[in-house]
Amino acid sequence: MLTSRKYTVFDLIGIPLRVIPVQTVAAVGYMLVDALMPAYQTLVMAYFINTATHIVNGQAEYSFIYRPLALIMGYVIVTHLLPSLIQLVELTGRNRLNVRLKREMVLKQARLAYQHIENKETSELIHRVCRDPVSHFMGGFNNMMSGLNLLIGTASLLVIVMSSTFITGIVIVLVAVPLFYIAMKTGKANYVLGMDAQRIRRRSADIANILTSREDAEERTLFGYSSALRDRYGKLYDQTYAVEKKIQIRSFIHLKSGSIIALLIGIIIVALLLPALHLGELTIGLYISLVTAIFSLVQRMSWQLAETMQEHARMKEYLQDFSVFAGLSEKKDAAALPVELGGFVFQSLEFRQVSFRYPDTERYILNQCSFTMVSGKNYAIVGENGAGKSTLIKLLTGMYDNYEGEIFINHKKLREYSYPELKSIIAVVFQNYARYALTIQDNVRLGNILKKDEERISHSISKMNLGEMVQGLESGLDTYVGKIQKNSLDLSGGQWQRLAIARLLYSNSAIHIMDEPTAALDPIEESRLYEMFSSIRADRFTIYITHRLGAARISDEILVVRSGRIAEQGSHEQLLEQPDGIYRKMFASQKSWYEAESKVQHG
Amino acid sequence: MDRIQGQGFLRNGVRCLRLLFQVNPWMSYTYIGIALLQAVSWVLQVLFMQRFLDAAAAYATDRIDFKMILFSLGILALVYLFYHVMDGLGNCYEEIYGLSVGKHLNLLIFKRVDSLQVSEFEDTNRLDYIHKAVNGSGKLIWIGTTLLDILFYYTTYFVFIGWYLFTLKPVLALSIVVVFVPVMLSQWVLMSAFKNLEAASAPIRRESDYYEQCLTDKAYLSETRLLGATAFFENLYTSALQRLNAIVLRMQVRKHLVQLILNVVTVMGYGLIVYMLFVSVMRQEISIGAFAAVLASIGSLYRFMNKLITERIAWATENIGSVENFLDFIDEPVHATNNLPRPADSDIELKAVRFRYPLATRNAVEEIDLIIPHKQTLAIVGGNGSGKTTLCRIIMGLYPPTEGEVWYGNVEASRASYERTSAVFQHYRKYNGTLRENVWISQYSKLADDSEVVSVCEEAGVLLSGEGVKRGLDTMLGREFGGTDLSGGQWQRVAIARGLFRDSDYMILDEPTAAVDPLEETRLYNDFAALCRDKTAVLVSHRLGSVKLADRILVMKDGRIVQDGTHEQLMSIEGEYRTMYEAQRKWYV
Repeated sequence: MLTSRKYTVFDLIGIPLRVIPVQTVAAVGYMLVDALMPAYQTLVMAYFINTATHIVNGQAEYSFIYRPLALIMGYVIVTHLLPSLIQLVELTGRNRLNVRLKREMVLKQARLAYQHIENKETSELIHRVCRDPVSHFMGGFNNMMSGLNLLIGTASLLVIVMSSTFITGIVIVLVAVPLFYIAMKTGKANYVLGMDAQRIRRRSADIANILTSREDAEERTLFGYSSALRDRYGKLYDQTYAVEKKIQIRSFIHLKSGSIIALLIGIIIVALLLPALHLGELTIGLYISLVTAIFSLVQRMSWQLAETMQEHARMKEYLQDFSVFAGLSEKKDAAALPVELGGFVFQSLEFRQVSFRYPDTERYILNQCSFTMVSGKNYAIVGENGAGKSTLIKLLTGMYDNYEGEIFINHKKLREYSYPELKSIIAVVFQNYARYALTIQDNVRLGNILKKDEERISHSISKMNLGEMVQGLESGLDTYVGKIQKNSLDLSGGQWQRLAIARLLYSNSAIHIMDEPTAALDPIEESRLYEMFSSIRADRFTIYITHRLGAARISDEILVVRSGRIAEQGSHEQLLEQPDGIYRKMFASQKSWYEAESKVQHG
Repeated sequence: MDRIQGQGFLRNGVRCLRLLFQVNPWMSYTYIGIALLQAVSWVLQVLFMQRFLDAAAAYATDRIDFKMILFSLGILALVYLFYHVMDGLGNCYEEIYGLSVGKHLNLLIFKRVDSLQVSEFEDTNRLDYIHKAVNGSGKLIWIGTTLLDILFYYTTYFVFIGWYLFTLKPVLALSIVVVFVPVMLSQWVLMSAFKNLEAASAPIRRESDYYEQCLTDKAYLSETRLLGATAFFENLYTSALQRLNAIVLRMQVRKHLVQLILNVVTVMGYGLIVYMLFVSVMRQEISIGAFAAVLASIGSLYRFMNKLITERIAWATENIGSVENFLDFIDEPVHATNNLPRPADSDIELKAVRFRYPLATRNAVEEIDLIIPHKQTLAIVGGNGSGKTTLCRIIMGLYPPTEGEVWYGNVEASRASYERTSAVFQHYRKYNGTLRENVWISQYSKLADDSEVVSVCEEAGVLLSGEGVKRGLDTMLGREFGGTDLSGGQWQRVAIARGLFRDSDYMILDEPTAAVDPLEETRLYNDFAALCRDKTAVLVSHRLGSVKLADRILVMKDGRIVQDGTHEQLMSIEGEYRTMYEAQRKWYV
């Protein structure tokens, strides 16, 4: 259903028709019945009035009246009882469509190329499109139905008029069509005005937020700027008030000129029918019921026509966004399960002349970056913020693949591994690792989604010193953590971290990466974690990314990243021995915090 | 229970109207005038429709001539025109009225929020209440117009129509009741059903929203993807959605069944009216024109009732709560404001201070006795959650201690003004405005020229030219209104410039965000300490090495000060500071 193409208003009917055919047909059927009701009512009323007149004049029997009376009741019953039933049918359809739409859209998001996720504009678009899609589709569908309803209702009344006095009918059509067109135009114009008003309001909303939010309470109170900003708010408000007032007045003039036009049409029709009434071409019953029907139609049109057009314009805009969303590029196999490579044994990882810049940016984050890592050793990648450390990982884990140069794992190009294969080879603890609000067991088990091994799960947990905590819990490993389920356990930052690392330990991957998972930890936790990890990780190939050199020391070899390339590589001792080495300088500088005698110079 | 609620509704309604008349009496009276005319225009429509239809019947049988019938139609057209004009005017005026009143209501709220204690924002219940009150300010006007409409528009309409029906035939006036009762009942059913629905579906909705996040949110996506866990979460997601649907459906079926029954009652009432009309026509008590006009007006009567009850009254009862919050909130007695001047050259003294956050089970700060001498640079260090930031806020006077006292010289902190105190907060604001405004906002009253802003920017290390800041102080910051977004470090510098711009004898630097790396942080603290040499300064950090320069270091743990001294002193004795310090240091020896 969700394919890369242009979605148009026809999809508002086409999609429901495919996903929920029964409900859609029912809705269309109901629309037809409802649209024909004014005509039916007119005819029945005419019948009733004529019969009543005849009875009063003694031209008919009293009992003749029961049939028209029953027909009127039929109308009352249909218009009052059917809506409740049809709403229930609609609800079942809505539910189904909701699940289908949401599922497909969420999966589409899950498969998007990573650049879209990091692009602010695109992610705003995604947010706009994916918030409550079913309301948009159902709303659009219902809006079309009510437009058709109005059209058919009008046309059917016209047919009644024409069947009595054809020429009058033709005149009516000639008068009505252009006026109808103008009325529709104003609906669209109003939509545009509404958007303008919204834009204006955003500014004062921003100040209002500063003046009331919790986040600003400290600065607001201490700096005491509230009264000055209130003045500014008042002035801004007065400005926008003047503009908005104009917009409001204009939009109501639009709206009402539309309904006055409709009224005019109605009056003209009523006047044009008078000769026919006089000549007896039209019975008094039909005339009276036509007049009431026409005026109630005018009443309906006065709001509905403009609203329908406004809604239609909004819908078109949504569909445009929707088409863009549907057309966003995807990462192949992004949603697939990992695929294990039989007998894969890690030998080496090589970056050969890799250059990379983020889409739509000028600056190369990685610039001819080359290095080799081999099995049996642990590596640390160090460097200042923004040097390109995390970007290395984004390339290695397949988030971006539009880099220049080549990356090799076991001498085979990274691009030649499928994404599912990569998933089984590499495991990462990200800087902002996920805190899954699942059970403790599931949190760990996600590390190796292909195989559930409870013994190994417990093992990983106890390795990370969480075993004691789990044993103290009533539901043990099946305890929910996070804040979603009832009775969840609230973990501390350090515990979450260890849980994330337990997930890494449980994985079967050959390459382990830790991307600064300690950034938010306090010093004691941090050093405890390093010690813990250096005792466990012995056998597996691990890459640490860090800006704290103390942590880098535990690895066998250190790579220093600077300006997008590897500036130095070697063991801690080797790098310290290099005179004028970057690492040596950085280490000395960081070390100086901890040397009581040396004072940091004033910057 | 329901009766009490009804009384609350009335009481709040009256308060709400009183406020509206206070804020803008002239527009309020005009609104009432328009509402009355609107109601009259409706009634005129029914009256003149009947007249015209009777005239048409007469014209059909040649009792009146063409001119007369055209005249009658002309009047009808005018009446309808009048209605449309009034309808447009009424709706338009309501919007404008709302806009005009909105400003005053918002200013009331802003002013009230300004007098709140910072600590009140930490109480989730209180925060919820404040939020509702803020929301209530936008809703108050619509509650007000709904009430005015009920009093002047709908009542007038119903009275006139009732009177019209009564003059036709007394028993017809009952039809208003026949239409009213089922609509009212079905609304009542609807509301109670929805309350249950909300309670039952909220947790499941939260669940499904969460799984959606796991699949799509930036914070989860890269990990979920790499783990190959998409299918895992998709299953959870779909099952949550289906459970949600099942609940909604069950509730709705029940609701619609009840509505169906009530609609049957309506249909029967309708039938009764039609029958009565018919009998009256037969007995020639009413004309054919009256019959048609009444039948048509019953239809619009029903729509009227429906709109009033299912849309407007339903909305009003749903939202009267937050309007009540608003009214209560702005009427709350305001605490004494802090306005005594702060004595210069005075020490800060904390006596047996304890602080407990609202709803917390233990004190965040426990038994603190502390004197900060004038012009001392004091650093507070400790792990996450040890009470550093809380203590800092108490020292600044932002939090009144739960127990104990804080004195600035001979003035108690809770009565002193914030003048001559400045700070750089952990969660500083990135204001959507020019760079100048971002700095200037810390002291609007100061009539500064650009050179002063430039000089604090330079002191704080804010870049005033180059990429992103092409227009110097006039550069718009923040993406919201088309400005540029600075890097985390640059924003940090802007926040420091903001703190420096404010004239102060007391300066507080709460730890900068984790985004700044330790080297940068050390640099920052050192610069900062140098800039504050002539002031009393407090620095907060969880990284030990970065505050070595301070005159004095406090180590906090579980809300208490466990150690107090210079870096050298603390290193020379066994204790928390040295343990922490050594733990980090051993990686560097």
